[in-house]
Amino acid sequence: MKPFRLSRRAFLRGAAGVTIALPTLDAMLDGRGRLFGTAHAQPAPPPVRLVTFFFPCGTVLEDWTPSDTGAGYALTPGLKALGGTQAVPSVREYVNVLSNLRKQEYEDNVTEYSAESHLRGTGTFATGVGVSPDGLGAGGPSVDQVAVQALKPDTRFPSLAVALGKSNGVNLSHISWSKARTPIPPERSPRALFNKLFSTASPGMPNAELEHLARRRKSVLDTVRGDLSKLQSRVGVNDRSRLEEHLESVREIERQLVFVPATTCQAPEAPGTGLAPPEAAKLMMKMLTVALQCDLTRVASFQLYQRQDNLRFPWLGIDRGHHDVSHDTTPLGLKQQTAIVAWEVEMFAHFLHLLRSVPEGGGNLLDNSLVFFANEHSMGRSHEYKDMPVLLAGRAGGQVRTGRHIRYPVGTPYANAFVSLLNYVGVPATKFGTYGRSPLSGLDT
Amino acid sequence: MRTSSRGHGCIRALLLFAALGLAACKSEQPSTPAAPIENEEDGGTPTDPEGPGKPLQCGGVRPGPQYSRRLTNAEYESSLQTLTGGSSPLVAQLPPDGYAEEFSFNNHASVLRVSSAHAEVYALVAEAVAKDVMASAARREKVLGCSLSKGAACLESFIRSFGRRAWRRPLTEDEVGALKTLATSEQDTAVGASLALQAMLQSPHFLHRVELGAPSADRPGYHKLTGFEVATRLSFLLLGRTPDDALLDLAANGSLDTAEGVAAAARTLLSARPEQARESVRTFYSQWMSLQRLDVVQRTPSRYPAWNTELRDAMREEVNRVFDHFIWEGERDLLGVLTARHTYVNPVLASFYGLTPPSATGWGQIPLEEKGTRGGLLTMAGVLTVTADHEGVAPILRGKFVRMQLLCKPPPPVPQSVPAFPEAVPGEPERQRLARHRSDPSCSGCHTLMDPIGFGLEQYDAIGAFRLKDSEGHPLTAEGSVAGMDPPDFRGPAELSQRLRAAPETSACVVKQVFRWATGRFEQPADACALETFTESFRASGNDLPELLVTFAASDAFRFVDPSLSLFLEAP
Repeated sequence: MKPFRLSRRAFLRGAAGVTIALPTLDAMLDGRGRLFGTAHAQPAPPPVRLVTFFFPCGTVLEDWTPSDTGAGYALTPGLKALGGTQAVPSVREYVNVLSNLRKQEYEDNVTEYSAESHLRGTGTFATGVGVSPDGLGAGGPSVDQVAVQALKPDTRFPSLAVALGKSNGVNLSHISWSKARTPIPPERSPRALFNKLFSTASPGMPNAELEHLARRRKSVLDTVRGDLSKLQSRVGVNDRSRLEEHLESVREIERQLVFVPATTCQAPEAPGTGLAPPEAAKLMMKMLTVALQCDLTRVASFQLYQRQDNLRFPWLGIDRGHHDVSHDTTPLGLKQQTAIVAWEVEMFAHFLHLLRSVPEGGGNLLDNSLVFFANEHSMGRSHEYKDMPVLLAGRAGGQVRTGRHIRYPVGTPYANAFVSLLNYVGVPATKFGTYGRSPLSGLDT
Repeated sequence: MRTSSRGHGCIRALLLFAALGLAACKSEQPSTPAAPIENEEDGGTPTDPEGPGKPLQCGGVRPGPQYSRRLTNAEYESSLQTLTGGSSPLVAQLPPDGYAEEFSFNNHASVLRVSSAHAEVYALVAEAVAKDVMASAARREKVLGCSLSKGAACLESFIRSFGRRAWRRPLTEDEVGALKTLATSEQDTAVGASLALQAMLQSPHFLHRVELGAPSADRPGYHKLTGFEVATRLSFLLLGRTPDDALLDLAANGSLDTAEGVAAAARTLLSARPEQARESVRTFYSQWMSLQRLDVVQRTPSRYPAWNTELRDAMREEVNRVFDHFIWEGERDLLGVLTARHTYVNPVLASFYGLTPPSATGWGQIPLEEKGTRGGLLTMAGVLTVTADHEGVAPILRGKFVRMQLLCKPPPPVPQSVPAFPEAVPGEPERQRLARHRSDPSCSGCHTLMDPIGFGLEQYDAIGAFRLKDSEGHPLTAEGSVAGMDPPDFRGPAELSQRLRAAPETSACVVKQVFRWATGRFEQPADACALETFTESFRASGNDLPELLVTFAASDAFRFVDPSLSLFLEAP
């Protein structure tokens, strides 16, 4: 087969639905998975990837927290999928279960506008600060965006926000925030994510035509940016943040629409639509894995539904909504709640397995990643926040020792986890948010 | 000189809320930095936020903060239609406009943003629309207004004329210059025109309703909005549309520089475009009633076999028709929705209500019996369904609805951790289970304010069907109470509706909700006099909503802005 020559301009974002199957590019890669022609004297270690992963409506904490600590802890009913399922071998050696992390910021900035419990729970998932007191969003940037802003990765997408569930409102439908009140709208379906990652302007368009298209798009966007810059200096204080965001957005899409770095990715098959949650979740995670593997991005967030979806779980035999179940304190209600949590952990384990299955460097992609898995509340029935259910997976390129249950001193700030995450991805942070004052101890190898 | 609601002979029939001790749920006092200012005894006179119960010198309506508002997705799409003769299916890929928790409308200025997801769609839509326009002789004529064979002269005249419509004001010479430079960067004038069109449709001047105004001579410290900014406000508020050429011409000739001119233009728009006005006002009441939740409500089929899409659509249509009637027809008394003695049904809804439909197909009006189970907002299935989130907690949510949406009296913020909902004892009446919930001292402060209101509506289940017994078979009495009301007790929605209708708090709350929808923000202390003034006129007009919009449009709150005010609330 005639080798396919990739022009650096060969990929322009186009209207959704137009896709091409990218050829296999093994021939272009050396044994270490890098493009020929970019070898360094010493191979650079793969970058550490960061993924935040959210699940809603709390847990039955009694069925979550292991009673013993250390490496040999007994898996609880909520965590059992970590030990392996029919489809996925055990991932527990890659995971640390963290307990006694207190999300004190949950109680900050509570007013009549911001009081709703799930607003606060979701809005403080990874920001380290109380929500905005007017109920208009999170109170600050989430850890994934802090990492992006500090590291400015030269990837096609600075980060990827992915979610399942319908967007219903500002507060419950977003877990990535670039600053206060400024959410990053996620892709909400496997098809939408696929199009974002893999669709192009026109298959087979000759390079010369692509050049024209790229040049024209750039001209238009330059004019638009000119309007924005001039307007910025004239508007009042109430508009500055939003106009700044608009300008930043136009800069960012210029990368997608005008110039796109070459990628070494094999696009997966285009997904169908109308998939049941387990299939949809697995497809989203598969595409996220491809995006990380191919360096389309190094930072991502994944929201596995939210309270407003009140998701039903027919494949678990539960035909009423998640939120209703989470507030049912009968023995049946608690059992169902734990079954739901167990399924969510199963999805998490599936994602870890996907990452683990990608060889990279001398190990695999999970060795080079950090995945932060947590809920909005600890106890679903009472919206507690004092002992948050957190799983931290991945070895951050060998920096993190995994496979244990670590019980921290009571009241250890939840946001200390974010200090750790930033440090492991290469951001020298010493604090995070209102209460994060040091990295979590005991994680380093 | 204090304007008093007494002096204007407004209805003070009911002292709805005597000194209402809003006990916090726990020991902490809730902080409400921008709580609506109302002296509860008076039901509407603004008081000084600093001092206890001291009346303000309400010297006049004050303007609000200065801020721009991005077009909502609906406004964006309708603008594309108006400006270019078409839209694009790609518009559906815009992230939906979100709801902040306690703001009923999806047009809060802070929530309307341009993320990179938005910017990408705007760019691809502009490209697609430009392509379609240039490919259609009719649309090309509409957009360009001249023949490209005339070259640069046509490019310039197109940029000026289309630009004025798209940006809702004449372009400056610099702006024309920049777009001309872009357009003439291409050999092919058609391509050049397409690029200019795309740039105009992605400009912040199109996507945002920029409001700068100019320092005002007769109102020092404030900015007066330009005629074009006023035209934009009028057109989007009353019609949900971009201002047309006629309205822009009025702006250009100074007709919108006076309160009288604005009022006249407002009335003209309302009478000349009744369908568009109805569509626009519908976005107010349907969100005020949270009808959008009907799209995501789930009900267990075995418990609610009647629930399906036909019924859901019929519920929504009933609410739409009742509101349309009381807003636009007859006496134009919006509060009449509370106590309506007629409604609108199709066969599906009539059957659900156990009523005889007026015709075999389609919709018609039917009278409702005085002592029947239907009559007014609080008995409409659509409202009862969206206030019954998960089955079993309807009384709490309906109580919250009445307090938040009809009285504007929010309960204090929930306690920091919510004790477990009491375990259901088999066979126990629903009401009793919730009563045990409220006996917990950390909950009762809030729940005594909400649940008892909802109990008065307990004879309507989670899809609004009438029932005399609860799911455990216990008889339901519809006895409820409104804490602070004098007397507090009532029985059933008819009595509650009568008392709500007569209460001054209700009309004041309606005005507040309209204000939020119209401005895209929460009210703040600086708005107190404006709200007071608008509430008085609203009552004096017999609760005429279109008239309220005209009053608002002609006021200083509409025509001026105060650049020293913040759009946002700060941390307590």
